Amino acid sequence: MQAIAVIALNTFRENLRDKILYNLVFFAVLLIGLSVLLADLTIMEHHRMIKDLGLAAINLVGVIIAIFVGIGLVNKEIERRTVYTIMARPISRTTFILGKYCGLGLTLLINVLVMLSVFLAILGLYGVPITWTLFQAVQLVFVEMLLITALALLFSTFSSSTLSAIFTLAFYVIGHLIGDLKGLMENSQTVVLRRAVAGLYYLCPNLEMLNIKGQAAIGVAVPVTYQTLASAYGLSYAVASIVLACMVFQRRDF
Amino acid sequence: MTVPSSIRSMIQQSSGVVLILGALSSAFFAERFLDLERPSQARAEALAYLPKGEYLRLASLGYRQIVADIIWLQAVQHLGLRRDTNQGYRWTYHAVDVLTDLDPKFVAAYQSAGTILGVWAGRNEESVAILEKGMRNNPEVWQLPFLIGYNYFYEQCNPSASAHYLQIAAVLPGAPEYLSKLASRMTVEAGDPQAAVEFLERFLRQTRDERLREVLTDRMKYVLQERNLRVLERAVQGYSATYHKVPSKLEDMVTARIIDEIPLDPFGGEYFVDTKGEVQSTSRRDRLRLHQHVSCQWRSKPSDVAIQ
Repeated sequence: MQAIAVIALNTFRENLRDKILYNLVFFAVLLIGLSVLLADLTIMEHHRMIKDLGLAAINLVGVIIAIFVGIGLVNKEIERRTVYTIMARPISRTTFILGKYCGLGLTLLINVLVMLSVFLAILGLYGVPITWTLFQAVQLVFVEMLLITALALLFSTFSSSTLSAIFTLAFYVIGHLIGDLKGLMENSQTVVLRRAVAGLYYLCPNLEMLNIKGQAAIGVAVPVTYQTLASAYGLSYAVASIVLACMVFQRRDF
Repeated sequence: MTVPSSIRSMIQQSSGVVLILGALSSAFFAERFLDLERPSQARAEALAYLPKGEYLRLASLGYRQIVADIIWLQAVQHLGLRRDTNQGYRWTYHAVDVLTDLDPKFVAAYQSAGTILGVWAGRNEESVAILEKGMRNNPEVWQLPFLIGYNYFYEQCNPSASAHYLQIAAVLPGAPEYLSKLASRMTVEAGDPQAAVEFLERFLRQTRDERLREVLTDRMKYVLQERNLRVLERAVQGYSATYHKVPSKLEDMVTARIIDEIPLDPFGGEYFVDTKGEVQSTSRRDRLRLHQHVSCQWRSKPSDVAIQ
């Protein structure tokens, strides 16, 4: 457990050294700049647009970090050959993977918290009412990030950085399409196609389950049961991906 | 003669800078010309070619609301410009239909598009269609059936359809108390300018857009003038029945205590009675067309009636 914490902390420090938190400046400028612009451009619904923008920006920035930092977690160590020095110590490969994952998780958590604070400050500045659903939406966005990180980590244990990025992006896209695709395919006459899509539906995480940004923007409350179930759903896929990543990493030769 | 290397590198650097500046300025001028080639009308028309909402929904990958916001922002920039013909609004229905497919809870989009398509563009079927879609997706918002009621009564001269929607609006949460009364008046007193005045007053009260308020205020003046002319004409008829002659001036009817006072003309003119007993105003509004439009006599098709 202590070993995991040490690796996680080191990963976090490494992320800081990589200037990942610079994205927060980008986020703040984007949000503040566009909010001012929106106030000028739109008629009505200015408040709702600021909320839409803030939530989308938190989600997008988080997912980009999760994918592009996630794919480098293991790969970079292997390419730089620093993994040998770690593996030479009495640290299991599972501990290494878990530590790496928790480190990026911590980076993402701090990122999300800072972005949320900037977002809430802007809402306060424009007198937009802050509803509980906003926090619920951001929590589910964080679960999505954890899931994406786990997928990126899994792919990075057996393929190059470029391929891992492509695979993770593909899962991200499929994850958002699969719900609609299943709905469309239910009307299909081809049974094989219908079953294939249904199979894919249960294999790929349906990321739309974690998307309540629309409700949050208009302040419609989401039941806590839904939030808990959706979190459990996302985290289950994340756990499955990490376990698989550990299994693949165990079998790798260095 | 050999050129010193420092001068050569300076020449290289300066020609690099000149090339960059040249490329940037040609891009700038090309953009200016392209902007002129594509007037705002054409840019608005581009919104008519947005992909269908169901496809855009798939392509927006969980960022549906922000894509809807972007389409809305584009639409708003063009909606604000008043076009000369209703053809200028061809794109509006499609753009708002697509954005509300992405975000069915975007109540402001239904309201604005419904109002502008009806009041400014005279595209009443599209106005009602977009507002009805809004009603299906947001059955708790009273403003949407209210606006359909407005469109049916004022733009399409169909008081019974209007009353139907006002009754729907009246029972929704947050609906003002006057709505149910207004709904019943729609059917009983259709054709009475007073009903139109009341309707416009209510509509004005909940409209925040300045330009729309201007249009509505102007219309209310027409309706008020029409109402005054009718009151005065009825009084002239009463005077003629009693005295067997047309009053030479309107003040005669005040003296004869048929009316208490001569109402003010909202356009700043003065009312007078002609030798045939018809009351007119010096502000010289086109009364016949106005009369058909504002008081909904339903003798002509709504499309024959021009807005102002």
